[in-house]
Amino acid sequence: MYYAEPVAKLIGELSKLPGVGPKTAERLAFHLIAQSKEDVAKLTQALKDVKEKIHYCSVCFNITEQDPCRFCQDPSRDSSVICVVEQPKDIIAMEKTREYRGRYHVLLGSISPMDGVGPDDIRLRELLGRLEDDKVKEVIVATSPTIEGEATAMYVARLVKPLGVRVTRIAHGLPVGGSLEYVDEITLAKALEGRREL
Amino acid sequence: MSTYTTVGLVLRRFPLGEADSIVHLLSKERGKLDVVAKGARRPRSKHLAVTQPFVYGRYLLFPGRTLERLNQGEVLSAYRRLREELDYFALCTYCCELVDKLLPVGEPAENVFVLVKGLFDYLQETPASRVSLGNALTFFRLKLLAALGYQVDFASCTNCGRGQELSTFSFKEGGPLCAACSGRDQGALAVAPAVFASLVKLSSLGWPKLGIIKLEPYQQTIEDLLEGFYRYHLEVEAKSSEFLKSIRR
Repeated sequence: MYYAEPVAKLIGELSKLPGVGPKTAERLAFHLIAQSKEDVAKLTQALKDVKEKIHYCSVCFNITEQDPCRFCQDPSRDSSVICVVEQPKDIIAMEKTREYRGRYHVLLGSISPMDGVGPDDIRLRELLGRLEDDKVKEVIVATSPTIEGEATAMYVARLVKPLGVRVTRIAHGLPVGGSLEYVDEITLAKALEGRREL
Repeated sequence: MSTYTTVGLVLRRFPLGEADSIVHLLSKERGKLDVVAKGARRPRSKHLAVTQPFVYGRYLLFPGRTLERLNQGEVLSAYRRLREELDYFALCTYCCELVDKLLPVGEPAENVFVLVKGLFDYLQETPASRVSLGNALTFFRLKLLAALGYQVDFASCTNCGRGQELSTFSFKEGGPLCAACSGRDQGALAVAPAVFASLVKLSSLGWPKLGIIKLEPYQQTIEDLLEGFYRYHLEVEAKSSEFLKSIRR
């Protein structure tokens, strides 16, 4: 044991974080040691708060302090459209576009059969529950364009279409500022398929 | 050690760290390879498309001690229909998982490569109305067994070699038993002779002609038989099997 026990323990805990190896954990630990007591207290309080005050919204499964979350409570949002995403952080990405003013539904995962994650392991049943009243006219599936995301999108469509609700998928295409010659064949084919009139 | 080029099919992809991936690649010449693709999960990575499951590509690899390293890749066929039809996705996921679990790393298995590619080509190129998913699944399972050295003779009794009155399938004995020999295994699965005849016929066909044989009436028995065989002799159970069943229901 090279370090005093509290330091070793801190390094051990920090190295459990994603993307943090032992070296980075060591650097972070020494950074915390060098910080003032007040700053460290703020950090520990923030960690405590996030664990104690944050939970999933009972309607859309976004992470929130109040239940229902602010997106579900906001009367100015369009209740006839639900955007289905995989993770709460995807809501933030959608919000940054400032293009979408409907409701959300977070699946908290995607179908990944090889990992043993099936349709019953994500929040699909709850989505169907939200479609029971006739308010919802459209479901936009905004899962990632990975194979798991595509499978989830197809599964959602299979469940929702028979209910008479319109199901749409966000488009796939070229990144803004990218160069056509470096774009892979799959993306280019999808972009071509989704071309529109100018 | 120097770089080498191989063609292969992506069986599976795992996240590694922040932005890397580990790919289980079924190469034509060198069997299954575990490949690390640096930065392959970044949205603008050149490795993003070539490391997607079900992609058939040409890969430039650098051999490592435990993992190969992906230097360059080129998509030869993306097999888009396998990603865009839920039934096809479920079937291919199951088949890839079986192959991934059963093949050891680094042992040449060109016959398995040809089999998986055959399945992908069949699903990609055959008009949807002519695709028989049940037959494709059974055919794949039978051919995979043969490729791995577990060729089952469904035409004759495993014990006495007679071709008549086959009545049960014994996992213990590894094949069908006739009425006279069925006492050898009390736990054998009761199977109608027509099922054995269908399996013999199906085994003799190639991908393009799969649809000419009707297996639907025996589908459940065939499923029990083959799943039981894989479990008993290969000790493998695919996690994706439940999903496949739920989609086909």
